[in-house]
Amino acid sequence: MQPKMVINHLEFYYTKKQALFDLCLEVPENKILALIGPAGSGITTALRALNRLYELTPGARAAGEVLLDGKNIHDGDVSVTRLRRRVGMVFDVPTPLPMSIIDNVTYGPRLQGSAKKSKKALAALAEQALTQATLWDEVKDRLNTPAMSLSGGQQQRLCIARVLALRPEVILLDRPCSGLDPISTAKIEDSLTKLKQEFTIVIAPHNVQQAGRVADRVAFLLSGRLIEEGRTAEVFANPRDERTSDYITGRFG
Amino acid sequence: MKKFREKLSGRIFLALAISSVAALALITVFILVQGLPIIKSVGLIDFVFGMTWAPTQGEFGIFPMIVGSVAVTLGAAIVGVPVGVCCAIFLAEFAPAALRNVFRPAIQLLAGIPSVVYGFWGLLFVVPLIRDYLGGPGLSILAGSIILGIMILPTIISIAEVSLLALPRQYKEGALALGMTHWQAIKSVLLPAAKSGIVAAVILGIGRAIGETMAVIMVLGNAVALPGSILDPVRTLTTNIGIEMGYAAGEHQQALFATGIVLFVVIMLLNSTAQYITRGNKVNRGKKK
Repeated sequence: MQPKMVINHLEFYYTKKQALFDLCLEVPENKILALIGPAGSGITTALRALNRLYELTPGARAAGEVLLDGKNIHDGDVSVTRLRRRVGMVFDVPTPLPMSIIDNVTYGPRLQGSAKKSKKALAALAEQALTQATLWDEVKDRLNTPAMSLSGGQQQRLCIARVLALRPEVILLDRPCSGLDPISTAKIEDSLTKLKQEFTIVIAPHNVQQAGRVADRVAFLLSGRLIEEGRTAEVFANPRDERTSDYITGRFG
Repeated sequence: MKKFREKLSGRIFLALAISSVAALALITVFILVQGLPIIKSVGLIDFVFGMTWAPTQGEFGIFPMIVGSVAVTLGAAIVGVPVGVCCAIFLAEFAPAALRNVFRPAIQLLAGIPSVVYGFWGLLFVVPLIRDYLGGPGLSILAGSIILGIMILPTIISIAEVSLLALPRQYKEGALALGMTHWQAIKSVLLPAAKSGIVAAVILGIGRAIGETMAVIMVLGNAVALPGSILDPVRTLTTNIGIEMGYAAGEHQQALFATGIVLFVVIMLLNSTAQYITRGNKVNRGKKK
């Protein structure tokens, strides 16, 4: 099967500092790929290169190819807003928008000018997204309360639901469970394993154990270079590189 | 010894802090003592809503000046608020760093120009322009509104910009990651989120406009009469005090202090509204509803 996204010889710079070195990586469709590595390895950078969100950072620039369904996302005829709807992102800090729960979820679809959606269709979409993010049962009776009133874990699942409501093809998650309690974390991991049937997921887990629990494949980055990539079970059981095994066993990182 | 020093320095800071509050208390008390008797003898309603201001004949009605203050302040808001808020949005969201580094000091400088210079410029430039192109004496509500509108820009811009920049970075990134355009993100996420800060900026700007004296004395014409249009001259509460304080005595002087009381109350109300709005927002963010 053709990979959903392909990173081809990606070099990435912040002003003068190089953050990624000749990164080549495939993102398989309907699988969960985890990018692991110690802080400062370029993992967040790699994620942000996949939906061009790095362009918000002054001085950041990328060289090399990032293909989505075989099409380079840096091509001139690619609309960046369209790209970001196809490749959604969830951040390390829950970022509910300052509005009600339901408005948060329907926010993206409502602004999608092309298809004016009816109230009913939006409500159905919201219910589907919230259900997939395992949040529906907790909020269905108070959809019109401010999103800020939710707990941290609920807020993060709301953010996932918000991305799902756009029906993206790829979902990027940047340490989505840092700062969350184990129960919330378990709920999010649980929903991720269900979501991969429909979406392609790239996650930067907040620790190695999470990669082991949810990921089909892992890629280990160190100082901006890809050290090793493979099926999670294989990489964890028989890492080919000594640095990988050192990191996985917790000798550093 | 060390303990003593700690205590002493604490006391010194306390004393200095108290002195600034004491200044406020002193001024308040002084204005009240000076102004209240006349309000009492004329009657609050007659004082505030009286149409005739003839202090030498014992007529103390400040209603035309209240109208003047309100008109000029509203005008200043109409001129200054849209420009100021848009400028703040530009600086916080669109301006490249190089441009921002020129704009910010320039706007600070705008705040540093003495108000008499604004008035002078208004008198020599804005007033003739209005007289030649729009008619009337030139000295008018419109002239005052334009001058004050410019004067309140720095207040509005800096506070509104800070409240936009203080938003969590994730609001913007979250919106953009949902496929919003930059302007959609500003319009539907950033502005609503910074709403309370922007409202506070506007209110503080208006407070500044209401209290301004020197610049408006020179361009308003200072006639004590209800204006018929924005091209008519008016007198504001502040200019009334500024013009007449030099030669007023007895009841007349008291009446000017009483004018000050009215002004004081208005500005207090505006400032506490601004504070209430900004604080209310902080509480809301943390509180579970």
